[in-house]
Amino acid sequence: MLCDLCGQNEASVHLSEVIDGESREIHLCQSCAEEKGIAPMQDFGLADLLGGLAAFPAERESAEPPPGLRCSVCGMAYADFRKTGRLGCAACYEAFRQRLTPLLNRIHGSTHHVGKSPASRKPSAPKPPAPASGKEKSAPPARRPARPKGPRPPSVGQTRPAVSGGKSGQTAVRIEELKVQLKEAVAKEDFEKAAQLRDRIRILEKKPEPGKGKAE
Amino acid sequence: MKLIALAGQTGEWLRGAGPESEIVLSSRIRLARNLADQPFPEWAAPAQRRAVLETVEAAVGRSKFLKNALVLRMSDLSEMEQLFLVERHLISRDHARQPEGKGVVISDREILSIMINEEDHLRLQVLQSGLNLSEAWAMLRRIDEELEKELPLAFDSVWGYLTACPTNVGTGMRVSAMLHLPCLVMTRQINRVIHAITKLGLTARGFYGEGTEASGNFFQLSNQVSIGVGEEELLDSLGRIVTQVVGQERAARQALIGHSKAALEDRVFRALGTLKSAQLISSQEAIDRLSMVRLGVDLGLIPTLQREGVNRLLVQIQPAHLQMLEGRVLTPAERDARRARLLRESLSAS
Repeated sequence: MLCDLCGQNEASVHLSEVIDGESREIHLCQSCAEEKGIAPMQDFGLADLLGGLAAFPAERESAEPPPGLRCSVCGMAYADFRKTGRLGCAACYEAFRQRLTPLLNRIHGSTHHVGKSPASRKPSAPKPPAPASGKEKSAPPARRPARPKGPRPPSVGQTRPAVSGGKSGQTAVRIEELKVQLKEAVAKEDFEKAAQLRDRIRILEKKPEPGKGKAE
Repeated sequence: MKLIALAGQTGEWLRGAGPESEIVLSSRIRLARNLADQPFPEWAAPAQRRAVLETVEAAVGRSKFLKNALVLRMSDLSEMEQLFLVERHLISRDHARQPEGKGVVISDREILSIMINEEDHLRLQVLQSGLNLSEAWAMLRRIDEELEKELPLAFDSVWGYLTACPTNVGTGMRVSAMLHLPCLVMTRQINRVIHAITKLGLTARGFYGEGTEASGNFFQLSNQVSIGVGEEELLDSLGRIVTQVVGQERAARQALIGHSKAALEDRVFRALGTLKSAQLISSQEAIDRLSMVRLGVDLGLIPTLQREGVNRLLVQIQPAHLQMLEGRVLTPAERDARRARLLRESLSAS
């Protein structure tokens, strides 16, 4: 909406008054409002103050899941989860771990719990699934998310925009976004986050050609 | 304690006291918890859900903190009673939808409630009046720790507390505060505020829960992220943002008083006049007018009225509350009349 006075700038000050039951609205840009002596009520400092706190990575689906992927404890198929958005049981987290890791990263920007744990017992993974009928490639139980080979983070200084060929446009864009985030994380010396970002980039890049897109 | 006893009392969170309580109506923390060895409620067979219900009820029965709590099964309640609990913010709308195998535990003064077999096996919540997150957390943590000694919880060393929906995994925590922001709405600043809030990873929704539009200028702010951030940090960042927004609302109130005092008073007293004389009134209109009256109370314009009284009315004007009051099912038209009568009687002295 443009300013009612100058008709040029975006209106950011909105006035309304009711006279004899009739409402009238005036929209002014910042400078016209100031000129007319209508001071903005207040500065809005929230975004500036807390700006860098959190930002959601863009929502995007990665590759299709294998059709037979299923939790051997409760029988939920990954496809069921995709439909409802709800998992079947605690063991589903193991069964679908490789799929859930990038998903959690997208939702929360993290995959590592840092809060309290049940005080009375040692933290433990859900019971390993009892062997069941599922003969299809079930996800390996009780393992950390597969980490691509290569030295562990955080040796992340040098990122260069190397979009390796053969990737879909979406993935390439996603990789670029992640690299930007990675740079920011490194600049802020948030190496934990940088390491996670680097891992995600590698997963997306899957098999980078030797020497290409590598940081080391 | 019986359910009907709740109808006659005012929940702790409506007291209108506590820090920032002229703008922050209430603060809430909830934790999602699941048993390790049972499927999550929506995927479980009816017999499994019942087994979870019985296990949790037994654990609650042994709890010191929940000694005097009301323990109810949803299937024993009438539809009206279920809705009554929704309106008091003790259970979610979803929890009332398919009552089979579901339960609820309500503590004294309605500070703590536990939904059993909602989306997760346990949903523990503490509701406090005003911006009172640290006290709420201290209480919730004690009960969480007590229950996890009794119940084998689903916990993963990397992912934390495991929940039916991955949006809750990790801490399983959602922190929220209900804010009354009439002057940010009037000065058209609310969209900027909401925009900034969403950028910070929070959501804003209405007084009547998920998926509802903000009505009566009430906005519930809550965190989105549940993993990668510790509980104290979640509380701290929500608290800080809420304090900022409270400051903005306060500044807007001062500005309006400075520029348009007469117009502001006109709106407040017109609203009060309507509530004191209407013969038929819808929920929506009642909420909007009560919002203006509450602002009037906060600004000291209506000294004869207490904030707690207005808060209580915001809850009592809802359909199930009116029907509990009347002791029978009412048609929408009958409710509009009953609501108007309740408001006239409650506000006649002011």
